[in-house]
This record gives sequence, C-alpha cells and structure tokens, in this order.
Amino acid sequence: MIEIDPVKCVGCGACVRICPPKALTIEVNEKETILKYFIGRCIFCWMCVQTCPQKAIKTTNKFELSAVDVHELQMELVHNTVKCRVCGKPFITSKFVKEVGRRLNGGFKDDLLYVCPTCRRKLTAKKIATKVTGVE
Amino acid sequence: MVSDIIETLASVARGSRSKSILTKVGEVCGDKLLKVERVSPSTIKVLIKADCLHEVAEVLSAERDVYFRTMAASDERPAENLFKLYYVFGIDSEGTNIVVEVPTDGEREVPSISDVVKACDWYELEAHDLMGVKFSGRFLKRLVLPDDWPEEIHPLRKDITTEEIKKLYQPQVVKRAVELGVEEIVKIPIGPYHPALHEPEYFELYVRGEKVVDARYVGFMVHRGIEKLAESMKYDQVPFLAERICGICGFVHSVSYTQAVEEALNIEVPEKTQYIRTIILELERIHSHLLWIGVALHLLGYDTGFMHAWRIREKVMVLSELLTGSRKTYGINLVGGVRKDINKEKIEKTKQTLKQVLNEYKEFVDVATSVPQVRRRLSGTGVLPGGEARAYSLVGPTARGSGLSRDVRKDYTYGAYHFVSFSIPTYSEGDNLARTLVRIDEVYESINIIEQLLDTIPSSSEIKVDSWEPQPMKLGLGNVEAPRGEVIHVVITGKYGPYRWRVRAPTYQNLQAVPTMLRGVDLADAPITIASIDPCFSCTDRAIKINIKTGKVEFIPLEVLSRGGVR
Repeated sequence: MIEIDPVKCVGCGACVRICPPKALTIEVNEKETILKYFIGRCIFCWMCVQTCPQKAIKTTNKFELSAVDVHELQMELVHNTVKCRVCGKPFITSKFVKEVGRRLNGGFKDDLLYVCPTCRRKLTAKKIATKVTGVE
Repeated sequence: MVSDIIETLASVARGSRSKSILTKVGEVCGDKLLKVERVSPSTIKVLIKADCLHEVAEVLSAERDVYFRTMAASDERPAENLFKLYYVFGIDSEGTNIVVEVPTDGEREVPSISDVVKACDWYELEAHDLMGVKFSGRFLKRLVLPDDWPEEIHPLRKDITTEEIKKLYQPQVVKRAVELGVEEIVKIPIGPYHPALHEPEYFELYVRGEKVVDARYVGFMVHRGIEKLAESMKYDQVPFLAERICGICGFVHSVSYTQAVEEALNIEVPEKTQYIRTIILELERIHSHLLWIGVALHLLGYDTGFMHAWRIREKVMVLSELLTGSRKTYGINLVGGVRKDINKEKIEKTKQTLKQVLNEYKEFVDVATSVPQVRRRLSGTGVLPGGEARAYSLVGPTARGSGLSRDVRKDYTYGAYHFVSFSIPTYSEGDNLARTLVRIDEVYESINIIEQLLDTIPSSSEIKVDSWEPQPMKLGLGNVEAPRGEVIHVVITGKYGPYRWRVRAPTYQNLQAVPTMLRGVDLADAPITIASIDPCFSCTDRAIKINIKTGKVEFIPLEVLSRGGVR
C-alpha cells in the first residue's frame, strides 16, 4: 500500500487524475478538501508515487491488507478549502495556494492567487480591457 | 476517375503481393472505391461503399495468404455523422494489413460477409449488439448482451455514458427476490465453469453413445464492458486496464495497446524499451505454456506432471517479480516506454534462472511426453484439418498444430524480434498432440530468444520517450503473438484518451473452430479437446457484473458439465 505524508501533501489532485483504478479520489466541499485512498481498489502500480509533485507519497511493503470492516480499507486526508474571493465558490486547498505562491516566488499577487480560474480569467480580461480603453 | 484510384492503389502498395491484391480489389469495386491511403508503413486503408463490401471480401478470402484479423465498429457520429466499420485483413507473406473502411449511417443494412469469411460471424453479431449496426443476408441474434437487455440500447454508442448504462441495467436479483418473497437473497452462481480451467464457459455436447456428434458454445458470460470503460480513461491509464483483460497473458494486451497508440501517433520508442517489452513477453509465454501443459496433463489424469510443470513455472514467476516488481499484471508499460529498467545484475540473475529452468524443463518434458497414456489420449483426438484452420482464420498454436506456420512475431514483426533468430514449431497432424508439441517446443524457443536478447540488450538507460502529443482520429493497429495466438488491438485516438479501442483476443478467433474439433471425439476426450486451444474465456468476453441472473441458473444443467469432467 502507499502512505501519504500529510505534511508534504498539498492536495493538488495530480495522483487522483493519474490513478488507473480510481483508488484515489478527491472530494471538495465548502470547508474541506478530502483526499481518499481506498486500498480495496489499489493495484499497487505506484503511478501516484511517480507523479506526485511534492514527493508526498511513499511506497511501503505492507501487503497483509485484509480487514473485517470495509471502512478499515479507506484512508482520508483532510485539507482546508479556500473560497474564491470573487464568487465565493470553494476551489482548492489553502496549502495548494500557498505552495503555488511559494513556487511563483511572489510573481502572483494574493488578489489573483485566491481567485478561482474562471474569475481569474474575467479579472485579467477586465484589466487588459481597462489598460487598452482606459475605461473601467 | 477509376484509373486514378487504381494508380494510387499501385503507389501505396508495399510489395508485389499487396499490389496485385489491391488491383483486384480496385477492379471489383470500380467507382465504389472512394479512397486509398497508407496510414502507416505496414497498414493500407481502403475506403469503399458498403454495396461492394461482399465482393471485396470474396476477393480477399480467395487469396491463400490473406486472412481475416479483426473488425472494429466505431461510432463516429460526433465528427462525421456516420458509423464506420474497419475490417482488418492481413497479408501473411508480406506482413501488410489491409484495412477496409466501410461507412454506414446506422439505418441502412451492411451486407454480411460471414458466408465467405467464416471468422467474421461473431464480429458482426458483436457490432450489431454493441453498436447497433444492421447486417443483411444473415441471421442476427444476441451474442454479447444478456437476453433481457433493452432492444434499442447499444452500449458502445457515444450517446450513452457508463453511468447511464449502470443505472439502466441492474441484474434481476432484486426482482427475483421480491418474486420469491425473501427479504435477503444470497446469490450462489453454479456453473458454467470448465472443470479444470476455472473460467465461465458453456458447451452443449450432443452425444450418440460415447461419440460427440455436435457441439454448441454459449459464451460472453463475463462481458465487463472494458472497451467502453477505456473510452473514459486517459492514455496512460489504459495499459493497466488492458493488462487486466487476461489473468494469464495480460502483458500482451498492454503491449498491443501501446503499440497501436504509438503507430497511430507516430511515436518512436527507444530500442531498449523494445528489448524489455520483448523479454517480458517471452517470459510470459514460458509461464503460460507451463501452466497450460500442467493443466492439460491434469485433464489427462497425470497429476504428477501437473505438479512438476507448476513447480518449474514458479521459478519463472519469481523471475518476473525480479524484472518487473510483480508476479503478474506487471504494470510497467506506458505509451512511449516502460517504467522499469533491466540492469546488469538482473541480466545475470535472469540468465542463471533460465539455465535452471531449461534443464528442469527438458527433463520433465522428456518424461511427460513419453508416458504412454498421455500420448495415446492426445494423438488422433480433436483433429482440425489445415483447410478448416485456414477457413476460420485461426491463430497461434492452434493454427500451427494444423500446419499453418502463422506467427505474428515473424509475419508482422514488432518489438525486438527482428534482432533475434528463432524458428516457429509447426506440426501438420492437427490433433491434440500436435497442439501440445507446438507449445512444448515454443518454450525452448522462448528461452533461446530471451538469452539472445539479454546478450545484445543496449546499455543505454533511455527507456521512455519524454513527451508526445495526442492527435484526434488517427487509426493504429497493434499486434502481439500471445501464448494463445495473435492479439490485435485497433485504436482510434481521441483528445485525451482512446476514442475507440477494439480488443481482439486469440480465443475469440479460435473458439469458433472448437465445435469442428469436437465432432467425432469420445466424450471423455472432450475436455482436453476444448482445453487444447488454451481458451481464455474472459479475454474473449473482455469483459462479472451484468450477467449472473438467478433466474437463469436453474436452467443450466450441471450434470452436463460434470459429465465432461475428468473421470
């Protein structure tokens, strides 16, 4: 089975997108972003380990995975969700936003960083329009 | 206009054989031939109108070195408002594929070619079931879908999603439970299983005295809808799904899939990748043949042989674990490369193990094949003449046991097979013994191939292309000689994953000939005859979910199956 380091993981969802058997899933709600790992579906292919940009996923030698209750096979990692400053929709985790900010080295200001992709597009378009036409 | 096309035909041809065959095709079609193009070095695509399909099939099936490989139906209504059928014919002597593309609007009937191309029977039924294509001039019945599936729903069409299919069809367990008035029902599916192969199958044998007069096969009990599932997945997720088509020879499917995508998108794979894939493929063949030899001997009542075969096989399994990390479903294949390298240390270890395996195998096979009971029960039973084998377009050891030296590794070479020399064991008797001996000899060849490859494997560490760009609507074919025969995948690429993925496992082709083999054998020899094609039912069904209906279980005559068992 795999082990996810809760400190390193930022909840970006790269592992979820690559997982062939869909053993890793992500659920975004108002407050939390939950990364779920269901061992019952895992095929131990280590695609997530190779993909993780944060190197947060480790392989282990644990293989005696039988359980009486199916819920014992489910592991969850809970992150805080950030809401878009413009439309108020929850979009990614707070750790992910901080990581992006860190990697961009301050190239992105907070007012854009905390905005969801749709609103960001609108904001940028507006900015350009303002620059060109001079009208708000 | 027509002369133009005939000229193009000659220019796209690969060699003299394909030239003469294509010219004949051009002549019978006339102006119904719309377009000819070379889609890859070994594949020529011919677009024709449905009206002349039957004539084309007649021309192609009359050639001795041409055989029918696969047919894929694809729903291309989103792009062109048409359904398309791709018939793949192979010219053995040249290694060229001729893809006959037939567009249809889904309403008009396409002429059936199963009267001239016997092997096409199931393909047409499947296209009718899953895609809703209508064929004229033949009897159409359900093949893949369960009997109570709604008439107008065709699951592989693009306008229905996997989620909708799940909602639509719930196995009738609940309804049955209500009928019986029980609160909770436990499903105990009994049969249909082969007495030794532990896979779902159902053969109805018609017996006079001790002799089998006729046989009927009912299959597709485990259609899982893998092709539909893959259409919702990304390119690099599909190899892992493909590997799970078969529990014994899964790697062949992942290689076949990746090769098809690579051909469609023109991806050059590093040489070392080819070497690694080929080594693992051959390793898989050794383990699969050892497994089969064991099971065959068990069916003949020679259990000592069974145990020894599996003892030797275990070494191969440990070796697979060393090279790939897993005993089965290796999971090392991706489009454009492999994930695990083979280093010097592993090469040495592999060579050592293979030497041991070879010695033990030789000793074991010499004893096993000289046991008089084994020989007498194998020789002269389940005879399949070469002509029948050709007519059914059979593949793999089944064809080679009937004197057809058809082997994809040589005819349509792929991977690193062109770097090694090996022979193709062929026997012409066509009985169970011939098919057994083909497999026994092939293990020696495989060990030989792996040793040659290990000696010449490139030392570079480049095993994967860095990146590649998907392009939509490109056609690619990928073929691999699996332990059971040729596997061929047709991939039509999409934006993020395959748009259409057609899998054709060897048993799909070979199973249609089993009733012929069964005619005239003693009842006691029926199980070994069925097993002699090394059937892989789940591969054929490609697809457990839908089909176990409690209502039906009681009709399956258990005794029919047990009678066929080992006594």
